[in-house]
Amino acid sequence: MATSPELKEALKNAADTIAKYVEDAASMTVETKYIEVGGKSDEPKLLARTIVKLDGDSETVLPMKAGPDGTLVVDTVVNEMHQENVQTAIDYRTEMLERLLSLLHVS
Amino acid sequence: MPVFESSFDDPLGMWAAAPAAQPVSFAVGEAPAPPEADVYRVNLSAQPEEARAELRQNEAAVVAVSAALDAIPARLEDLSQRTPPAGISFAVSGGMEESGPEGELLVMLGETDRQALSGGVLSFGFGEQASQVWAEAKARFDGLMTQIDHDVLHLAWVETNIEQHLIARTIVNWDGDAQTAWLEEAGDEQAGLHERALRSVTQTRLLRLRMFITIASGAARLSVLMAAPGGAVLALPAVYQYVTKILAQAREMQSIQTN
Repeated sequence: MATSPELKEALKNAADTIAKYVEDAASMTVETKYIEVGGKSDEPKLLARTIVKLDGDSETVLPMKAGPDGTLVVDTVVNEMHQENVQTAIDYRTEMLERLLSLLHVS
Repeated sequence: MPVFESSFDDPLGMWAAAPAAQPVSFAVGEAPAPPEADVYRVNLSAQPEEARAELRQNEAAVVAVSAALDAIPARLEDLSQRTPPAGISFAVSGGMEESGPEGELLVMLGETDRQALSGGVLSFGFGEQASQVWAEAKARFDGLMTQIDHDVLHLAWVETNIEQHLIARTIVNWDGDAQTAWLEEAGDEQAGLHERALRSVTQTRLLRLRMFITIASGAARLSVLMAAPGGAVLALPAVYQYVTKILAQAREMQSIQTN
């Protein structure tokens, strides 16, 4: 049947591509920004950033704001929002990696 | 306007295709989305309760599709156990009784096997209609492979709109790299809605990958029923069609239960 070698080749290519991407996935960066529409700049401004590395290292830039006495405190509302984003990204990445690895096994 | 729309044809049937959907920028001058990004747009109602209900509907569909995918390997294993090995084309034409999606799957596998053994393309006699179904299923399976490739290689551009007003956008890569931009005026309630919309997108992408794995492993499992060489690859379109049918049934059941 004329189509089977094409399918086979496509499966192999998909597996090769995925293997390369799994190798490259060494770190994950999650950023939360805000946009002030009509403000001085239309560029999104960074509120928080988390970098998670596969070797276990992680780095977080926390959102801060001035407290009642003028000292800087963590902006808990924004931080909570950011942490939700981080958790979604971690869950997505973890399951995606598991699925991709099982796909390699199938192929 | 559909609540859940995407820039491509979703093989899971959970997102309405809007091929012309272009990413929306918050403001003039903002960097545009790369043209190859998949755009997912969630258009929610202004009423918080209604918006939450719209998201619940999608989340229930994710659960239903996920459960259906979980059940498929066992169903295919049962089917392969009760079907005579390496003789499916004769078993089907000999009047072997199997109803429902499994019956249709066996007919299609039998036709594929018979025509592969005859060395021809799928286009003769009784098989003409089956041939067309096979060709369509193959084209759709190819589409799924392309989409999987896209899911891995390209970004998802996720927008949440409330009453057609963009409130948040996340750009996420398959490996978790993500950038979320909020409209300054967005509050806690809206943040929660976007978070759920984002989860729906990541779940959709994962389900699509699971669907592909289920089809590939299912085709391998059923290849023992076929006499033609390369049975697993030949079986892929038929199993694709079977899986999409099961998922459509699951979504329909969930929709009836929800409503």
